[in-house]
Amino acid sequence: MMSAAQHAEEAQAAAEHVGEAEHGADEAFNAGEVIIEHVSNSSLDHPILHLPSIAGIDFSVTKHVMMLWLVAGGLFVVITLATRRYLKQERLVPTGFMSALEWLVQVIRDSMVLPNVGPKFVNTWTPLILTLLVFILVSNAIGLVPIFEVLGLVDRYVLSNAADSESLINSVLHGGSTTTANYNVTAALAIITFFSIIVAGTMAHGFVKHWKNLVPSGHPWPIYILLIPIELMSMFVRPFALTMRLAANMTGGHIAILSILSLVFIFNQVFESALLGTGVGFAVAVPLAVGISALEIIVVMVQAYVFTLLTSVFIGMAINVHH
Amino acid sequence: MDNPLIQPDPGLFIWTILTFLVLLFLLAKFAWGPLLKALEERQETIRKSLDDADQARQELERLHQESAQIIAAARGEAQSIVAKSRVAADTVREDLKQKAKEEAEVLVRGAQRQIQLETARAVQQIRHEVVDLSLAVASKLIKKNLTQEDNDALIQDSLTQIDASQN
Amino acid sequence: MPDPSDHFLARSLQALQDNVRRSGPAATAGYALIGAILLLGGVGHLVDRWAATSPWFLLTGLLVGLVVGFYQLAKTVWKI
Repeated sequence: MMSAAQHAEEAQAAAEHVGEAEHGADEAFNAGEVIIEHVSNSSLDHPILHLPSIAGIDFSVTKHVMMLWLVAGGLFVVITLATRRYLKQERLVPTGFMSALEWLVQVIRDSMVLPNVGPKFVNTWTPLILTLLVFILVSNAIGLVPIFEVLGLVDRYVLSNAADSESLINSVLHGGSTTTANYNVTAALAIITFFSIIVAGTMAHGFVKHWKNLVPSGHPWPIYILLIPIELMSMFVRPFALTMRLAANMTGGHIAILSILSLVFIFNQVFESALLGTGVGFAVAVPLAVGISALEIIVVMVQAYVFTLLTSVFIGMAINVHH
Repeated sequence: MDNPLIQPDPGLFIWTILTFLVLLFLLAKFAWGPLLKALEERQETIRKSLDDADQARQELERLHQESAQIIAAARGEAQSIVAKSRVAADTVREDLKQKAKEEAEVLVRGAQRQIQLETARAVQQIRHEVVDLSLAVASKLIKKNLTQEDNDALIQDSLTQIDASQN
Repeated sequence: MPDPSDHFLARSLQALQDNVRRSGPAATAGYALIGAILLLGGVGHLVDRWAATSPWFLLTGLLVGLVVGFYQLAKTVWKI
């Protein structure tokens, strides 16, 4: 039984491999597959670093986990170094990158956290909001930069490695690099928001009072039978909306860009002439893709801003309860 | 669920939470905390220096007003002093004039009396000279020496005559 | 020291911030409406698949989602 299952699995893998080889051989272009490949996470079956499963959860390091670490590590190094250098110098006024960072800290504190959360808890929640903002912003933006695609080109044509070799570079090529386009990631971030709201309410009012604050007081009891479930569901709806908005916006933008760029290859096949197809495709697709990329830059910033703004609004709602 | 776009991935989910919490902790400890503190301190410094500047400005204004007041007072005082001294000078001049006039009057009066006295004495002397002359003339004329008593009687007589004629 | 609020860019940014801040509650309500319908509809759909009761839990979920979403919307509107 066991060996049969193993055998079947092996056979399937072998078939897949043959299929891939054929796919590579006849160079047929499937736009949908390519786009999904560039937007979604790398397959769990071929992780970059295989780790054991704990309690049925596969902790293997996939492309998106690696991107998370890259973004987090980069942010930590850059921001901490800049801050340390700034704090070490004698002058009060920051320069260069630090002035931008300080401007960001000041703007977030004074115009996002302070009006929503109130003066009492500003310094408690500003670090969370700032971390969320820079993390989401950089995660969003890094997807617009084709680092791995360039790496892949270098690997393929400069180092002349085969497309299916087992090199590290080749293994990081699969999957998209925008972690925030994966709703697992945005759901995790929304869960952070979800628990931050509870922690904020508990810190401000105490644990029991926080849950009481969820429902407006001073109504006859039959209303509460209706209100309590609705409020409880609202509690889950908010992080769900955060999750879906961010993931959908990021995925949508990338799909739009990739679809338009796919026109080059589709025209190639339609016209059955590489020169004509590529020429027409370039003329149509590249200006459009540039336009959408420009739009994406705005979307990247707005979505990071909206996520953090809504987080601070929710935290503020838990702290400053209006009745 | 074959669509990789909506494939649940609990491993990635948990990795995200862990990564984010670690990043949050590290950044809060090493970056945001010190930055927020520095920002607050700087704002405090700016606020204080602005306050100081404001205070200095107010102080300056106050001093300015004070000096203006002092100058105004001094000017008023000077004017009053000038006015007072002018009045005093006028008084002194009037006094001096008065005194000079009085002195002059005294002098004039003294001179007048002197003149009167001198005149009276001169008249007396002239009278005596006239008597003596007349005597000499008379004695020459009459060529006769009278006695002392006759003489005196004659003088007396002449004098009364002269007095009578004069009056 | 020149006043930073004089700069055109700074003023535009300030205006943008003000608008986004004021639109915060409205955006929350709008997304809560769609989010509630999607979430509860999705939960209903999953329950249907699990218990093979299609389409009753899906319909219930959509309805409840609508109620929750509109409740959030109403709360936002009444607060303003």
